[in-house]
Amino acid sequence: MKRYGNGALGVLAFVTVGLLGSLLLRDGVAYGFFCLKPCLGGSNTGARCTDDSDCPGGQCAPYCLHWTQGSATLDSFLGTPTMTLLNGTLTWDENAYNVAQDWNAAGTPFHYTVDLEGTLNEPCGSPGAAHACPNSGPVNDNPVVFRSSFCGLGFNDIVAQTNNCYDIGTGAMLNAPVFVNSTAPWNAYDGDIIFTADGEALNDIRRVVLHEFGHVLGLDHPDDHGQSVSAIMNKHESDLDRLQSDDLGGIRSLYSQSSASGSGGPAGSNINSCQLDAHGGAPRGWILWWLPAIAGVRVRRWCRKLP
Amino acid sequence: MSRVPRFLLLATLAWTVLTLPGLVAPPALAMVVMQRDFPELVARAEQVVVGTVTAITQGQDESGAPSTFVTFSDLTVLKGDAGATLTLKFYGGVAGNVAVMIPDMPTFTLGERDVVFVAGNGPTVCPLVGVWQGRFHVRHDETRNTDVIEDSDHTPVTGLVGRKLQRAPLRAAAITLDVFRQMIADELAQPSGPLMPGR
Repeated sequence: MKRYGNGALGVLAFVTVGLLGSLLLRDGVAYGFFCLKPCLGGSNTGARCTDDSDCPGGQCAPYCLHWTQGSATLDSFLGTPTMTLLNGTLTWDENAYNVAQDWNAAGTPFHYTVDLEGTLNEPCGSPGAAHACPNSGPVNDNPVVFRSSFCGLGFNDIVAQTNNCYDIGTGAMLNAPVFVNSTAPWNAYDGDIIFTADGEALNDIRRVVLHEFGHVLGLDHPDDHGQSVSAIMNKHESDLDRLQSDDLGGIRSLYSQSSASGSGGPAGSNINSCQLDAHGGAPRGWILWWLPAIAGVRVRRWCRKLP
Repeated sequence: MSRVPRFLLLATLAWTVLTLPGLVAPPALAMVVMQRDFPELVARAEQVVVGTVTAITQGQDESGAPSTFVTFSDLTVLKGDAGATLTLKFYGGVAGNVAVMIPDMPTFTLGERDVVFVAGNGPTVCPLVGVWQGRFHVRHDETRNTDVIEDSDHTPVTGLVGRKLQRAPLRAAAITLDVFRQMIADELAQPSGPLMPGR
């Protein structure tokens, strides 16, 4: 009697853990990558959105920002550092080149080309022939530069930013210069984030640019959408320094179907795929929390068979 | 108690210990934004206000840059000075048939109530300390009939340990707006010292 009672107590404990986990995640949404979408119309026109509720008076675009030609050329002008880079590379540009190849290795038709010896077209300036958008430079020109400000505006606490310039009617990317804050401490290294003597993070050019190039190709932050998923594209970082499966799922969703079908960019059914759960719909946290309950019952049955 | 249930209970406890931190742990640090802990948020802010977003407009700033202007009304000023309303300027918006978007920029909706830590409003890309780190949502908790604090990702803020704000996906554990205001007041009354060079 006592044995059965305590056994039930054990199962109850497991179920409680499962329920606790479920309750903790009850407000969670599907996990997975998100693409950049703008509000169309209303007070937030052009601002990033997840759904129509982000766009009072308007709607969230039915498309993702994308490169219609399925490729983009990055012109890296990051140059050469004065210090030794911890990951053994010799230049900042080499790191920019390497992370572009990381995205290329995703196996999609989308392709980054990195030009290391190009001519810099000044990205800052008013819209016109020389600037597809304000402060963006010519169409298809995507310089990656160190700057102490963003076209005269202070970075404040921003370490690096991508200025996505796009056609508001179609979501077609026109260009996307990347500005890296030269006043922040930089190096290039793998592994956990390194902190300087005063407690400030030593920025790793490799992982920061890897993240920014994800924005250039049209990916948003998964953790901006109430999710907890392992991804370089998260705005919050753990100690990840390489692309994760969720990041790769993002670029594949954006470019594989459309390019394969020849439609030239995300459209039709592909649009929704970048909003949907990359892992089949159910938040994975549920499984983690219910696993001990399921396994516990089996263990209990097995243990009861022991002499 | 028999051996089997004890094993199960211990396993349950171990599982909870192993998995719970993963759910409640705050984000480590920001990737493309400098990390700002709570004392830094307070110290670096020129203004800290509680306000409701009553207008969002787009246009150009004095330099011609596309900008989004977010106006807060019904203000409670916790640090610095502000008039009846406070309008913050964020880089980005529409310019004719094209638009510029900086993916890391916070976005706002009409009617939302926030606590914002403001610095460099006007001459910077984003006028919030630590970008999204300097923006907290005020949500009315119907169950508790009080206003509670959530971070920019709508994760409840549950308290302060050392210099770090704590967060957890337990809505019932969210601190109230009054508690948050008191935390800010305490920080202002007992500043944690000068900011470190270069930070």
